[in-house]
Amino acid sequence: MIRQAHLKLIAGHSVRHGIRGGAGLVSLFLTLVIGLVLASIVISPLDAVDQQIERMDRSETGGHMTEADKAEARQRVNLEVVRIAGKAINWVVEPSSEQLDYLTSQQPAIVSAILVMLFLVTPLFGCLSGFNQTSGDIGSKGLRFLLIRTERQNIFIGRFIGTYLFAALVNLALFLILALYMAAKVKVHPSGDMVLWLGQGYLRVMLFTAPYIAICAWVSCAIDSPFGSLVIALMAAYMFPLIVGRGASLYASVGYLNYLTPWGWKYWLLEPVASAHFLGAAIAMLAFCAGFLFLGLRYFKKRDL
Amino acid sequence: MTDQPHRAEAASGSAPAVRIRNVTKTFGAQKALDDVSFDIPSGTVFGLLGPNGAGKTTLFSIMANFLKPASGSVEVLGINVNNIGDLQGRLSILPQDALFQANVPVREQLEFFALLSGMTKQAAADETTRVLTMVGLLDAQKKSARALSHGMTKRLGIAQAFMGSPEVIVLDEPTAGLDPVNAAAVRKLVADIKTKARATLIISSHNLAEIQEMCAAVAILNNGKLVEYKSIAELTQATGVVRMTFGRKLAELEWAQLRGLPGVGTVEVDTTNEYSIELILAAGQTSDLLIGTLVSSLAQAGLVPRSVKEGASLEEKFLEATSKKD
Repeated sequence: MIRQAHLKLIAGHSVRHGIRGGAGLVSLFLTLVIGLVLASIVISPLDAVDQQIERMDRSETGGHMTEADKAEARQRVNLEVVRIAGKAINWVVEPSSEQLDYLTSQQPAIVSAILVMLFLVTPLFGCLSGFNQTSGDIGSKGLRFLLIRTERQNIFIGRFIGTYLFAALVNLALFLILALYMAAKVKVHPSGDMVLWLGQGYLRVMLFTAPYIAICAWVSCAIDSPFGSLVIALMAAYMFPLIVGRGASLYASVGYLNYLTPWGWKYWLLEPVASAHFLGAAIAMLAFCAGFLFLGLRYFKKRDL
Repeated sequence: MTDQPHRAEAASGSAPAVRIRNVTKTFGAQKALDDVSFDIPSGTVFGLLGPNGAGKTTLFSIMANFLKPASGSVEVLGINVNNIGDLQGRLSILPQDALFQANVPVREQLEFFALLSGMTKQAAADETTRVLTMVGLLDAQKKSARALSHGMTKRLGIAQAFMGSPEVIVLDEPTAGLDPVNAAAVRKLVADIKTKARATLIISSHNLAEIQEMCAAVAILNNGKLVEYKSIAELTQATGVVRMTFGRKLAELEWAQLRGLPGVGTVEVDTTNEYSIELILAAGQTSDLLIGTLVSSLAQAGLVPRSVKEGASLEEKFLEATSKKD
């Protein structure tokens, strides 16, 4: 029997002690480092442009370049950066012309480029947050203190919810840092537009994270070693797309196999909310999440603990 | 052995606290439990004995639904343990090797367990204080489990097992690794629970003297099979043996006097203590009738025993039961 009060208690306990366990701290650290490094790859050309304009100002006009001239120079370069960002998005996402227009013209292109990069590592972030949902406590038999106090499904689902909330907090920290930095430093797009699109991007990233934390819930309850659980979860997340990607380079139709995993649907999440693609991807993410949770729970209820 | 569970139920006159029926458990090719069936009477302190690897912890783990049996069933308080949620707060266990969360403070862990057992926040806090005081860990309440010694961790395990008002408490080797002071404190806790709470306690231990002191009845497992199921009294007294210890080594003449006492069949020296002897009673004699006669006869002969004990020790019966071939 699923007990709401138990789910709340277990999820809350799991979030509170996410970082204390050490694995959570590593997850927070790696998510911030990797996320910020990826963002800096996109943002740093703009910084370089800014510095170049300042240098031009000093060398060509002796520091007397007018603000209007500086803005014009920035605008020219920024348009170029947006064009390059669009190309990068085009190369990674292979979007339709509507999606490309949505990501580069209707939304701040720089933020879109960052989101595209972050989507590539979202499964990694999900696995880092979720790999030790139950495996460590199964190995140490610490789960036994809970097993006589509540049903297994409450432990499994409660830990999943707690882990998902923990991942949401970790990603929130990353997005807040990005929002603050971009609002202060990046002048390509209006700050409000960038923060708003980053906020939407955060929600979309969290939607994409859900099935990976569910995969981890399944793997983690099947393996008594947290490290083993991490390795297998990462293989499940990345090996299949890599193999399919290799196959697709030989036979294009092999690429459709990616739709058997959340990976294949991810960039549909970067389409307008009202579009059929976005809705389809959102439903697919939830369905994958439910499916992995179902398989994990079925195993967890039967296994020796 | 097959009639024993039913005999226990009939003797107690009430439904058993635990009903184990035809439980078999395998780990790969290894049979950890082989068709084990018995009942544990309600309101008793019951010992589960067996050498290492006999299947005691496996049976406890099945009772608490940690492990799933290959076949058979276990009911606790009339509820199949597959529906463990229905036993919320009524069954508690001290698992043998389970570790607490290393980085979480002791108090927080216990309060979390209490909340899961259905207590309110205030009740959980009060109950945590009570059990921590009971096991002498109140001063360590803010420490993380990682900072506790082995003995303190064991006491913390006992504290969580005694939280609330469980009707069945399973203690898997509760005194293992404890110093004599703490071991005695645990035995006192068990005695208190027995008298005050009227709970059913099920204990495993390799300390057989401790089991003999605490338990009313025992089951002995060997190689996954139930080989003995009796009350302590039945197991140790109805043996036709009277053990006596004297203040000195007996002379040959005194041996002869002992052999000549009425009702005594043979007299054997205890190989572990030359001051002790075992009087094996003649067929048809019972120790109850003879002890008085024996003691008075010995006194007349100038031999005053320092101790007189009926029957064999639990250790002897344990060794006898576990050395039998299948």
